[in-house]
Amino acid sequence: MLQFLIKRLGQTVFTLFAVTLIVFALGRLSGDPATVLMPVEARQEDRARIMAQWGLDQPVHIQYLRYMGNILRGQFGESLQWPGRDALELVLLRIGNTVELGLAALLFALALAVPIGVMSAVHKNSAIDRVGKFIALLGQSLPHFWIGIVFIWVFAVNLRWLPTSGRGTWQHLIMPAIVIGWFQVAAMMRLIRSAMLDALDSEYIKLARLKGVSERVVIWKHALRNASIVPLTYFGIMIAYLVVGSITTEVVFSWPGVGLLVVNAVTARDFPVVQAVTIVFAVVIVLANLIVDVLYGVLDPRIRLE
Amino acid sequence: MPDPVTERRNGNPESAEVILDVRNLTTHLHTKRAVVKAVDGVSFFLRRGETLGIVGESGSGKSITALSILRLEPKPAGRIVAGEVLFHGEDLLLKSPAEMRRIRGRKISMILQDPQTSLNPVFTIGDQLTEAFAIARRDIPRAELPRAVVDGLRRVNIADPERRVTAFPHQLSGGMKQRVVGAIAISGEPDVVIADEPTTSLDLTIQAQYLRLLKQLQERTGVGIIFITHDFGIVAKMCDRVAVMYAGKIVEHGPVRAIFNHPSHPYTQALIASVPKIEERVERLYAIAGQPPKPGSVIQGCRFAARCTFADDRCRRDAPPTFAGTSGQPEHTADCWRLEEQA
Amino acid sequence: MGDAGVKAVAAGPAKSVRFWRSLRELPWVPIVIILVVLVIPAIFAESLAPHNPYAGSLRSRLKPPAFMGGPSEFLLGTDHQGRDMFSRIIFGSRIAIAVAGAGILIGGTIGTTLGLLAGYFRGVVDTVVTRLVDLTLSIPAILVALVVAAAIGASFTSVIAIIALVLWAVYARQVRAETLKWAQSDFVARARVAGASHARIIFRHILPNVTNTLIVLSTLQVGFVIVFEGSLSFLGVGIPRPNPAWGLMVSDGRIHVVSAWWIAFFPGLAIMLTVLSFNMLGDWLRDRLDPRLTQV
Repeated sequence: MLQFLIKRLGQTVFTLFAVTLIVFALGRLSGDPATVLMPVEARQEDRARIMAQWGLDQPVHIQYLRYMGNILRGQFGESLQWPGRDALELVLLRIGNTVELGLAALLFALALAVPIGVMSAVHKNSAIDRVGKFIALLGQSLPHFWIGIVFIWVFAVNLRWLPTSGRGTWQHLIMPAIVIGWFQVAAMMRLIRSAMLDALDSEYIKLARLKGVSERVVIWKHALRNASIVPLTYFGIMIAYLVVGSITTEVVFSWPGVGLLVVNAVTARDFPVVQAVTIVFAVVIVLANLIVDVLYGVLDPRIRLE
Repeated sequence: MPDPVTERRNGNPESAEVILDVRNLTTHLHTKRAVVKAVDGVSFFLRRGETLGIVGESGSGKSITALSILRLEPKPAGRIVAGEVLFHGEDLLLKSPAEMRRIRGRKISMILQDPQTSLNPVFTIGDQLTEAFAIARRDIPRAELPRAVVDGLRRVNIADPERRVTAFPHQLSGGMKQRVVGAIAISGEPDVVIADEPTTSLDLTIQAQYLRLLKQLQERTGVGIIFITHDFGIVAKMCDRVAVMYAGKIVEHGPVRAIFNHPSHPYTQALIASVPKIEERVERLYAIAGQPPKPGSVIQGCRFAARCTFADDRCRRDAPPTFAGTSGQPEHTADCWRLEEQA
Repeated sequence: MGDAGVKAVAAGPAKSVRFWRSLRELPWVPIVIILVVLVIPAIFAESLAPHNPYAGSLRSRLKPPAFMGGPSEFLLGTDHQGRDMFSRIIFGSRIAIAVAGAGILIGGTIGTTLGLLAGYFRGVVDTVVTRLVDLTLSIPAILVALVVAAAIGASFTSVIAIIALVLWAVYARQVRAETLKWAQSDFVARARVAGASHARIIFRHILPNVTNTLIVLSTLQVGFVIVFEGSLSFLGVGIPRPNPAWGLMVSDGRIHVVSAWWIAFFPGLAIMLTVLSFNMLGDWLRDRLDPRLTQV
């Protein structure tokens, strides 16, 4: 287990390094920051001064090291849109909102996916199962941004049950959370269904029935406990999906989170902010995957006690 | 009433009462292409305290017969379409699901073949055994359960049971796992234990140990055992009576001694002939040429005719009825036309 | 216990009858939808579209669809610049197919090649490729797209490049797994003994067997790619204006959702129908071609 952890940790570090490298390379691609910052008529000495300040007169690998050093200290530079504001600070201010949205989406997804997934497996090929399969298919086919707008039109503009956008009361949370969570329902439900089918087919379930255990306990205790290990491995991917989903959804609903921040930053070519968001997201996702792997080891006694 | 255990030891097993009487049990498996008569009119009985062996190749229908008795035929494909399963006189096939649940684990229990997969990998064996006791022995108060569990493990000869209770299945050897399964099976002090090839997945040396354990348990508790196997050697060691199954039907049935001395059905004869002299595990009958009929195929006449060295036209045309009294014992029956003259 | 291999002996109907019957088993609903919404408009856009998708007059701004009482010449209404929605959606299908097709082709080719090489040669090649695949798959595509767009701006090329960048890893991983399997098989061993070169073995023996997987995978990816491109366009980092990309139209329509909901609705509906159909088709193909294929 320890060996496994160390290997995973190594992979994590490698991935993060690679991400920073890519972001750095793309950053340099986007053009010489000096040219971007300076007005065209700037004098040569001013240019040279700015370049020294930014370390642009150094060879590329030195630049990268400086860059890495800065990142590790959390210094991403100042935002170009709001000069004077630190890029990372902007991200951290808003990350709470995105997390809030993500958690709500997750809860919604679980609340729907687990019962539907279990019932689909238990009543395989029945009407319930077909409905479940269709929900799954639908969920994977609906574009976030479109369904968000449709929701707004139906529930906010026409029915006036919910507010159109922004953040405030819990009513503001409902639509965006459902829009993001819906996609997860589909994937999670499929996973739970297939894991439950496997579990229900197993010999130990047969033995449980032979022991005289009631069917309800067989399903919800014996089978589900085994089946829930599988969707857990999906959690890591799910965090990634939550990140992705939040980007478009926050735009649609004007939710003041990191997703909205990064999209605006991209449009404004505010590279320091884009960098900061990307690295933060990457860290979150990679860490989430790591935690999932650890959790997997904890939950499955076969791995834990290797 | 004479104690069945003593009666058996005294060589009078026939005086014990019949506790399980299976009559004409028929279970069909509905697959996409065909309907398979997995169990086709099977009849046998079990007396208190005795061991009945059911022998046959893979696919002969032995396991489905066992599962059908407990109404756990594989759904949705499986369906019991005919027959009676009389347990203490009451037909199990007529019972409600709730009543069947009360019987399973308590009155009739089962040991499955592969200990690797029959224990739930995410619960400790203590948990699993506790659950068995909690369900099957309502008379034991909650506080006493841990002690009952440790006792249960000790009864199946698991050393150091207090420590094992917190172990997970994958931490135990195959033999130990199977003992745990055995402990679960006898936790409710059942009348019948159905053992479905319990030793097939175990090492040879462990096999003998396990069989001894089963015999021990039977002697102590007087439980009746239905022992399903493909190995006639084990039958000789363990069983009082034996039923030979082929392609869903019982082709020969009778006391072990009688069958060994006078095997009447050609299939039984071949099976006995193939019992290896040196201890060697066989899955297939290398001695008999040919294969059992494809499941779902409709056969005219005797099912064994295609592989039988004695088969004639009548065998291929008409399925033989059951002839009793071969070898002089009324309980010894076989389905073979060759016995017609002797009847 | 028990062998359950049931193959009943049944005399079948004539071959021609079976052919027509198997045609009937095709999943017609998604196929028709794909043809109607995506393929036919893309090919015959000029003939089918009643108006120029790029030209609009301010006079005809925000007109509702014909079936809702608007002017009959605009079947699905007009957008904020007076352009006909119906024509734009028709031309948008061309963009969707072109971009998705190019992205899948490029990404699929790169991914398949790398997967074959990795699975066949193993060793260093395999390690490098696997690392890259893991890396690519662990970073969400949209993030990559955003960063790239911030760096070099958005255009047709950037979108296709990003799609290829994201997709190759999916193909590589699947193809590598299949290659590992096939490389162990008998006919490959025989070919090697017969002195076949590596290239020959890979392309003549292994690749044909991987094709089934590729077909199913590609079908399932089309859905993702179309939504992805739509999302990128929606966010402004995909197909640039004024092209009639469906995602772009949804984005434009968002601001006007209160007064002119049709601007956002119909393009998004087109995306949804297309993706739904491809997913249904992909599922059907997967069940038919290889039920053992696990979902990636």
